[in-house]
Amino acid sequence: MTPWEILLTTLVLAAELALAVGLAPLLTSVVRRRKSRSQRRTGPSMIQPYLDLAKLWGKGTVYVESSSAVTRAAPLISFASLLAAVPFVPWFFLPAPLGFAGDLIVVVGLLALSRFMTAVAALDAGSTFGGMGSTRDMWIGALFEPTFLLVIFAWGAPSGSTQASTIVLHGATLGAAHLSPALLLASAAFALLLLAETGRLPVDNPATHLELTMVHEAMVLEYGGRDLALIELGQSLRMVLLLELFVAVLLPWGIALSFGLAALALALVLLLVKLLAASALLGELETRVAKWRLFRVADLAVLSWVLALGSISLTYLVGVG
Amino acid sequence: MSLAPGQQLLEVLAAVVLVTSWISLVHRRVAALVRLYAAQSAAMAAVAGLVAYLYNAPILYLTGATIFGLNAVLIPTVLLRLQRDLRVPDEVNMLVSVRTSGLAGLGCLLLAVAVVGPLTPYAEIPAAGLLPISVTVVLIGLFLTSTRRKAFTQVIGMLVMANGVFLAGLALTFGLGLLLELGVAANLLILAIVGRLFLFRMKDSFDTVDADALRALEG
Amino acid sequence: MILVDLPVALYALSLLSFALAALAGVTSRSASVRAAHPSLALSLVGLVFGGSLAVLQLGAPSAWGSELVVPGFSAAAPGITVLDFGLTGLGAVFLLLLAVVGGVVVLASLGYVARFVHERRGPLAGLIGLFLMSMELVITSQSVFLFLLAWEGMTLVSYFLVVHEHDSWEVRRAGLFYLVMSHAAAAGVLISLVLLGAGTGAWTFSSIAAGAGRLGAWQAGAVFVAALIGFGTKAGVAPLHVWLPEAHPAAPSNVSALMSGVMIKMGVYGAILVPFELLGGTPPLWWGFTWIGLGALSCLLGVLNAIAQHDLKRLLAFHSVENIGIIFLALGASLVFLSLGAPLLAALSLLAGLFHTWNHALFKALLFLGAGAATGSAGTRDMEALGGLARRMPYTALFFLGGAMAISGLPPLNGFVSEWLLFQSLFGAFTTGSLATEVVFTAVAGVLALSSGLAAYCFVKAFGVTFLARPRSEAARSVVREAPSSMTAAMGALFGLCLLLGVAPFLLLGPISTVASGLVGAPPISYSAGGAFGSLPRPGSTGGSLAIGVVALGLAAGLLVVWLLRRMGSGHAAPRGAAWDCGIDAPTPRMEYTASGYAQPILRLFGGFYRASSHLEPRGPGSPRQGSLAKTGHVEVEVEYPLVAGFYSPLTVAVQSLARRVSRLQSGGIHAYLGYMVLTLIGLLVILRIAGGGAP
Repeated sequence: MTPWEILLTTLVLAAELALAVGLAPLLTSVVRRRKSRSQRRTGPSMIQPYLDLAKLWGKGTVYVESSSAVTRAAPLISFASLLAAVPFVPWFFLPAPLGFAGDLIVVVGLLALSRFMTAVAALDAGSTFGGMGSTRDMWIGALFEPTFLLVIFAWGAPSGSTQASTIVLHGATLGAAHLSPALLLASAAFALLLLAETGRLPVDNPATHLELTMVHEAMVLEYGGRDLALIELGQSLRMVLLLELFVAVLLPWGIALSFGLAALALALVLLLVKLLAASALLGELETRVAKWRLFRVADLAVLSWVLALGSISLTYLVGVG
Repeated sequence: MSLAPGQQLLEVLAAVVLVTSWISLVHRRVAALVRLYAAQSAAMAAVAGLVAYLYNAPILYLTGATIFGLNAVLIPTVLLRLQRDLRVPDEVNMLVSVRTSGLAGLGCLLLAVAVVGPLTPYAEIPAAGLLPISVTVVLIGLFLTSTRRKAFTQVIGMLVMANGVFLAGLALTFGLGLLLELGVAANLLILAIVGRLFLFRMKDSFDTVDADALRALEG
Repeated sequence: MILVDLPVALYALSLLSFALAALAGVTSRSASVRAAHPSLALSLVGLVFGGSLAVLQLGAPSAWGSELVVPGFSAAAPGITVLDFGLTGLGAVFLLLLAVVGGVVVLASLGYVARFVHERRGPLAGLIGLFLMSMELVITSQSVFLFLLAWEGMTLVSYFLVVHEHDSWEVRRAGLFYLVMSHAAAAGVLISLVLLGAGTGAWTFSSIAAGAGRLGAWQAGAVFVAALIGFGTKAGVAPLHVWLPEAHPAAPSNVSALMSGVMIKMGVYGAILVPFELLGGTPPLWWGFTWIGLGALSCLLGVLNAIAQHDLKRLLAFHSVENIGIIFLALGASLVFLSLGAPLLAALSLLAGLFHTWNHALFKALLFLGAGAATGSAGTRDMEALGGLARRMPYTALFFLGGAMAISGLPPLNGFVSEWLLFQSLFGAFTTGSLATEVVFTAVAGVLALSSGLAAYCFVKAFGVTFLARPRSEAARSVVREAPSSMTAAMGALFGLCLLLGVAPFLLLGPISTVASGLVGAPPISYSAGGAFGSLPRPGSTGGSLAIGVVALGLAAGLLVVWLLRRMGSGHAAPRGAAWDCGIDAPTPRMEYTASGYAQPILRLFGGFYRASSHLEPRGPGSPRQGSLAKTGHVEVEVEYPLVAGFYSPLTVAVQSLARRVSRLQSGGIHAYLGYMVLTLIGLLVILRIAGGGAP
C-alpha cells in the first residue's frame, strides 16, 4: 500500500464510522415513523432519537447500591465492540477498510461480545427483571448464533470466502445472476436473524412498557444517563450494522470499487436509499405481526436454520439443468 | 456460473415452491396454509409458463393457465369457504412440535438430495434441477398429511403433495405434458370434491373434523 | 557434544526434580505449610526443565512466525533412546502445555495447600509432583510397554488426588467411579497398542509407525476403535464422559484444574498419537466421521448438562466435555480431509484442534482456580447460595470473567481464535467437491455455533450468579477476603496467557502449525508475517483471514474513545440508589434470579433432553396451597441423566451380579486356592498344547 492509499483508507474508515453512528438513530426513527404511519398515527418527530440521546447524555447516573464495576464497564465494552465491528462490513467503498483483518465470523464474535457484556451487567443489580431479561436475551442469542454462521457459510460458498468484501465484490461483478435461490434463502434466514438480534417484533417489543414482557428493555432497566445513551445508541448501531450487511450482500450493486468522486457519491446515495428502504420495510413488518410468546421464538430460529441449511443444499440442486 | 436470466428466474420460482412448503410446515393457521398453497400453485403456474417459454413448448402455457385457475384460485377459494362453512378452527393441531416439523422439512430436502441428487448430472432433461425440489415437496406433503390432526389440514397436505407430483411431471416430461397435467388436475378437483363431501359427512356423523375422532370407530 | 547432551540433561533433571518433589512431600511428617512448599517448589523446577526441553524441541518460538527448524531430539540422544524415551514434535506441544499450565497450578497450590495442612490428609504436594512426573512420562514414552506403565501410573496417582478429601462418602464414591472408568479406558489403550504391536511385530513407536502399512483394514479399524474407547474415556468424550462430572467436583480445586486442564489432554494426545503418528497413511472416511459425530454429541450434551447444574465445579466439568467435543470435531475434520486427499485443510483442522487443546487447558485451569477460590472462601459449591463475591474478591471475579469470556469464544480472547480456525477449516469443505462433506460440515459448524452460544449463556449464568448482585446466603456473606495472593497471581497469569494468545496467537500457532503440517504430511501453513497482526489465510483459495491483533486494537481504541467521552465533563462520582422494585418493597436477595431460574428457558426448550421435573411444596404453617398459588414454598427441579439411567446403571447392576457370582470362588479355604492354582496350571498347559507351539 502506498501512503496515499493508506491515507484514503483511513479517511474511508473515519467516514464510515461517522456514517454508521450518525445514521443509527435516524434509521430507528424511520422504523418508528413507518410504523406509526401505517397505524394512522403521526408519530414522533424524525429527530426524536437524537433529542433523546442528547437528553440522556446530559443527565447524571445512579448506580444500584450492590452493583460492582461490571455495571460501569459493560456499556463501554458493549458499545466499543459494536463500534469495532463497523469497519469489517462494507458500507460504500470496497474493500472494507479493515476487511483484511477479519471476516464475518469476527463480526459474529464482536456482536456476541456486546451481548454477553450487557447480559452479565443485567445480573449485577440483583433485581428480578435484570435476570429475566438477561436469560431471555442470551437464550435468543444462543438460538440464532447457528443461523449467523450458517448464513455466512451459505453467502460465502459461491465466492469461497468468508470475508465480507470478497462476498460483496463477487456479487457485484456477477450481475443479476447473483440473485440465486440459494442467496435468497440465506438472506431470508438472515432477515429472521436480524429481527432477533435487534430485538424487533415478533421476538421482542422495543416499545413495550410492561416489565414482564420485556427482553432487552428489562436488561437495561437499571441504567440511566450516559450509560443508557450508549446502550440505546448501541442498539441502533447494531440494527444499522446488520441492515447494512443485509443490503450489501443482497443488493451489492453500486458500491464504489475505486476512489472517484462520482463513484463515491453514487455509492453514498445508493447506500442511503437501500438502508432507508430496508428500515421502512422493517417498520412495515412490525405493524403486521404481534409479539410472539417467548418459546415460539425457537420455532423462528429453527425455521432460520432450515432456510440457511437449505440454501447450502440448494446451491448444488438447481443451476445444473 | 452465469446463467440466462430465464433459467435463473426458474430457479427462484422453484425456490419459492420449496419455501412455501417449508413455511406450511411451521405455520399454525389453517387459513394461512390455504393461502400458502395458493401462492405455491401460482409459482408453479409461473414455472410452467416459463418452461413453456424457455423450451419452446407452447402446450405448457395452457397447463400453466390451468394450474393457475384451478390450483391457485379455485381450490383455495373453495377451501376457504369450506373452512368458514364448517367452522373449522383456525388453529392447526399437530402431532409433532413446530420445531420438529421444521427440522423434518430440512430432512426431506436432504433425503431428496441424497436420492435424486445424483441424477442431476445426467441432465438431458432440461429442467432436471427441479426434480429434487419436487421430491422434497412430495415428501413434505406426505409429512403434512401424516402429522396433522384435522382432516382439513390433511387435505391441504395432499394438495401440496399433488403439487410436488406436478412439478416432477413438469421437470421430466413437459414434452408430452398436457394429458398428464390435465389428468392430475382433474384428480385434484375430484380430490377436493371428495374431500368436501368427506368433511361434510364427517362433520355430520361425528360433529367434528378431527381425524383422530375416527379412532372411536375402532372395534 | 554439549548440544547433544542438553536435552538428555534437561530430561533427567526434570524427572529427578519430580522424584525429589514426591519424596519430599511423601516423607515429610510435619503437617505444616513449610513441608508442602519445598515439594511444590521442586515440582516447579521439574516443570521448568521439562518446559525448556519442549521449547528446545519446538525451536525457539518466534513472535514473527518465521520458518522454524525442529531438531530431531530422540535421534540425537542415543543415551536414552535405548530406554525408548524421546520427545516428538507432538509430544513437545503437550509437554509445553504441561509445563505452562502445571507450573501455574503449582504456583496457585502454594497458597491453596495451606487450607489442607491442618486436616492431616494425604501428602497433596508430593502426589502433585508424582502426578506431573507421570504425565511427563506418558508424553515421552516411545514404546508400548513404557507408555502403558506411565499411563497406569498417571491413572493411579490421579485417583489418590481425587480422593484427597476422603472423609466424605461422596468423594470416595466419585473416586471409585473414576478408578473403574479409568481402568476401562486403560483396557482400551492396552488393546489398541498391543494390537498395533502384534500386527507390526514392533514395540517401539517409531518402528510401529514404520510398519503400520502392513496392517489390514480390519486390524487398523480395531486399533482405531480401541484407541477411541481408551483415550476417549480419558479425554471425556460423550458417551464415555460420565466420570468427569463426578471426579472433578470431588477433587480439590487445584487438582481439578490440573486434571481438566492437563490430564484429560493426555487422552487427546493419545487420540492424535494413534491415527496420525502410529497408523499414518490415508484413513478411511468413517474414522473421521465417527470422531465428528462423537464430538458434536459431546458439544451439545456437555453444554446442555452444564446449563442445568448449579454446582459450580460440576458445571465446569461438563464444560470440559463440551470443549473436548470441539477438539474431537477438529481432529475428526482433519481425518476426513486426509481421507479426501486435502492435506492442507487437514493440517489446518489439526492446528485448530491442537490450539483449542491449549486454549481449553488455559481457561479451564483458570476457571477451576477461580471456582476454587470462590467456593473455598464461601464453603459451598452451590451457586444458589453464592452471589455478591465480586465486591469482596475483585481480582478473582475479574479473572473468572476473563476465563468465562474466553470459553464462550468471544474476541479478543484465545477461545475465539481456535473457534475461528475451526470454522475456517470446516468452511474449507466447499473446496473438496464432496456434497455430503459440505452439508455435514456446514451442519457441524451450526452445532459448534450453537454450543458456543449456549456456552456464553451458561457462563453469563455462572459468573453472574456466583459473583454479582447480592449474597444469597450467610455463607456468601461471610466471605470478606480476596483469595491468597499466590492464587490471584496464578489466575492473573492464566488470564494474561488467554489474552496474549487471543491477541497474538501466532506466538504459539507458528510452532504448532509446523507440528500439525508434519503430522499430516502437508506443506507448512503459510501466513503473512507481521507479528501479532499477521493474518492466517485459509489454504486453497482466498478464504478468510484474521488479524486478531487489529481487531483487538480496534476494540481497545473504541473503548478508549467511549470511556473518555463518558468521563468528559462529568466530574463527580455517581450516586448510588436502590434497584427498581416495581413500587412494592425493597428488593431482597431472595428476589434475585437464581441459577435454576436462569437455566429455565433452556431446560424448557430442550425438555425432551433433560426430562426435567419440578415439584412445588408449600412450606410453613398457615400457608395452605390455594389452587396453584402458595404463599411460601420450595421448588425443586430435577434433571434426569438418561445416559446414566439407561446405560451405566444397568451395566453396574450386571457387573455387580457377575461379581457376586465370581466371589463365590473366594471361599477362604487354603485348599480351594491351591486347587485353583493347579487348575490354572493345567489350563495353561492345555492352551500351550493346543496352540501347538512350544513342545521341545
